Amino acid sequence: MTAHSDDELVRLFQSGHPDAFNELVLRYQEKVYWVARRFINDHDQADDVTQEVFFKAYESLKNFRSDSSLYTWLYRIAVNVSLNFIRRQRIRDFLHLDELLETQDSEEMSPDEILEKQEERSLIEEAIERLPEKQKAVFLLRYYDELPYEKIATILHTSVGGLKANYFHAVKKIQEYLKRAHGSH
Amino acid sequence: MPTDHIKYWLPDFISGKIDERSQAVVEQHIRECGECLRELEELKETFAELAKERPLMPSPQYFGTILPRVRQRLGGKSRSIEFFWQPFLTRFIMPLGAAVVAFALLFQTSLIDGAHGGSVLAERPMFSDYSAQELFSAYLEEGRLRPLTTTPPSQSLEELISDNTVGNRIAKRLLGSNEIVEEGVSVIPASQLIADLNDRELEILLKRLGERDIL
Repeated sequence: MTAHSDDELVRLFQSGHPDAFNELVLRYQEKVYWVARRFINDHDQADDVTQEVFFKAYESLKNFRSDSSLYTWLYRIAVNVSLNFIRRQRIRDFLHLDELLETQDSEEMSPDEILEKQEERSLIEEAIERLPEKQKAVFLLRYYDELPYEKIATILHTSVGGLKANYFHAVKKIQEYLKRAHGSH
Repeated sequence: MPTDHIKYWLPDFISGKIDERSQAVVEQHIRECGECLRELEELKETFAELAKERPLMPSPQYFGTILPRVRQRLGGKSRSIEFFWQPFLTRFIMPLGAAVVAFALLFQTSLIDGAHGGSVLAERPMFSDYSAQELFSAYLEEGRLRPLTTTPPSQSLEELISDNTVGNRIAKRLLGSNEIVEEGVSVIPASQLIADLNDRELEILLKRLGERDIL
């Protein structure tokens, strides 16, 4: 199948062409994965989210109306699924659900391996993880994905005004976190 | 341009992501404003640290596995959903039965109703006596007898909670009684497993848990 434009892919999918969705996945799987990975900071969980994103995309693509580009639409799904994943994790953490049972991870990993895994997370990842949701989303989309503010506004269903301030405050919070962390060493 | 507005331009100025006109404005301003110049220098250090960040890359073969797995999930949709839940069955669903009870305990308004003349305080210890396995079994049994997975579309989460319908059914099953004090037990409907909650329901739940406002 020759490379098609995004619009052509959507038309092909909507007319029942079976390979159109495959091409969509192959085209955007890395971008979707890295959106999830940067929000969640865990490969396995980002993998779950990536699959969930394409699952949702498959179910919704038949109704896609080209109000935005396919790329922006897919990004929006990826951001929403990632944020919802984080929110669910916060609820699980609150309930301490992981303490109620032995998780597969802790059964398989030795204490040294668990400690090493924790240390592998960098200060930057920790700093980003602590950002408020909107600032985190704006920061990740602007800094790593280099999206224009207009596209970020579309993805996040928000207005452009204020996004620069969100980005600035996100960077400042990261800066402050790093300062405190370096200051304590 | 006010200093506050200029500083919001600084991250993009450092990254070279602003237009020429704005760049000239910022350059002119930082020549005159010591505070913004200091801010700029500090931000440059932060961006330098960010630039050094190298996340752990997935294995080279990883991206070749996404499409087959997505296809597998789509191909046997009903079967794959069942399979999808299996790993979560022991990890999350069983203790979620306990989570239902935890929410009941967290959000109960009053369990004593003088008008009914009965105290359900005695029932509270009974909830905590039940293991996650038993609560989960009760949840499954309730789902078998009366489907819990379809929320009536006219009922919002708040209505279901105040209605107490689902929570009370589980309580009845646990207590083996058809009579139960109806009020005071406020639970997240058992059908609303955490993974099933939609955006609005997540917001409600997080606010209830005292979390800060989300997007």
